[in-house]
Amino acid sequence: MKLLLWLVVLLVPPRPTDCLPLLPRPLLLHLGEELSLRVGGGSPASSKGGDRALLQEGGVEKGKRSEEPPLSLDLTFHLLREVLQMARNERLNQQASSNRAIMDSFGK
Amino acid sequence: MRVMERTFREQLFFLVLCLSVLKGDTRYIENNEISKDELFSFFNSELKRETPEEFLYRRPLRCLDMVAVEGQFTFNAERPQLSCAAFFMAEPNEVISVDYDNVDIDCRAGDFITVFDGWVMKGEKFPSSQDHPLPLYERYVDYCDSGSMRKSVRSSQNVAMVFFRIHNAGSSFTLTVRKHINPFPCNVISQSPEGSYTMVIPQQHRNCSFSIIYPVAIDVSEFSLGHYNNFPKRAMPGCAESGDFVQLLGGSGIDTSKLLPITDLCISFTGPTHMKIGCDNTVVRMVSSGKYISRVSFSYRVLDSQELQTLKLNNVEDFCFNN
Repeated sequence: MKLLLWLVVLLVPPRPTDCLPLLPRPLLLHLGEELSLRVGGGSPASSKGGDRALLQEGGVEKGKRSEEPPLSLDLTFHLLREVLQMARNERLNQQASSNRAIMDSFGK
Repeated sequence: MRVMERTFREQLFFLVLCLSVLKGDTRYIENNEISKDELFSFFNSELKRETPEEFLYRRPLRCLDMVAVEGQFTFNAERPQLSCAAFFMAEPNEVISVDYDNVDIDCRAGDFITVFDGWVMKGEKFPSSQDHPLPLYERYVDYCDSGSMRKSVRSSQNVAMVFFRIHNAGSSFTLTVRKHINPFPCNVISQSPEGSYTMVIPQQHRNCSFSIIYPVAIDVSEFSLGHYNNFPKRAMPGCAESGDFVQLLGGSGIDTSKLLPITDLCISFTGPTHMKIGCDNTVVRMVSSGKYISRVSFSYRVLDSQELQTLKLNNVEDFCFNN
């Protein structure tokens, strides 16, 4: 019986301890191309570009009611929906894990 | 003699009563171990439902991330990361709090962690400045400016985001994300491409919007403006003259003030109004004067590629293809 249990343990693939959803490689590369962080309302700086750091230079002074967001992310709706879908999947997985833990504790 | 006996008896009873109280034999309130809260904690409207530390969900935070669960998210910089942002999202009837924990960054070197009350994309913000209670500069909370004074930031709606920049490898920080019930949600971004929702503005002079970042077919099943005494409202001659109406907006940004109106609804009705809107962002926005209890109910589903193609072919205008 013990031998059988050991065999089962060795044959079952390991599950990740956290529910980190893995990004497919094409999406990761795509993120690198499409993602840029706009600082201080100027033209977007690429993620690998220089440090524009316009916020540090006082892009928006406190008390001044400028409507231009000092920090913004250039992201397409397509990518936004992709990461949103990943987040929904993570939430469902986490809820399932939580339910499993609760049911396990009920069974004890 | 009888008076003396009565007085003595009363004194004796009083003495026995005092002894009972001091000894604790009188009825006492049993503290139920199941409820760890204090006796009068139910008077506190903020329900205590914090997850115990050992059950808190944890994972690393990515440079570009979307978080829709409660938990602790740690960013460890393996190399300089100059352009990072994470979106936070909750259910429509929830708001989000973000706590800074174990922050190890170099503010003087230009590192920052800034939480924004809403979402910002391509220079546009949700909710718009018209629909948000705070001025723009108060919606950004920079750890390096407020750090020790303000370790927790709470959003005004179901979305928030954080921008961060780390110059030195080895720097790190942890964000604890929690959700809290919002009994009167106003500005909402839908988590899913399909669903249904009822927006209520209870006699408040404010504008609220429900944003769906997908091209959708939308059915508005009910729109009502109830008086405080629930008498039906008279129909107004036109939406422009009415202080209470519902707008359907569409466009390619998230700022509702920059979207184009598709149609307005300002007369109370019950019965489906069906539309297909091929925009990247479809918004149901309710304008309320505060005189009525305004309510609109609608359902929506994402358009498939065939429907989108049909919309494009049937429309001359290049504006988001709606029917």
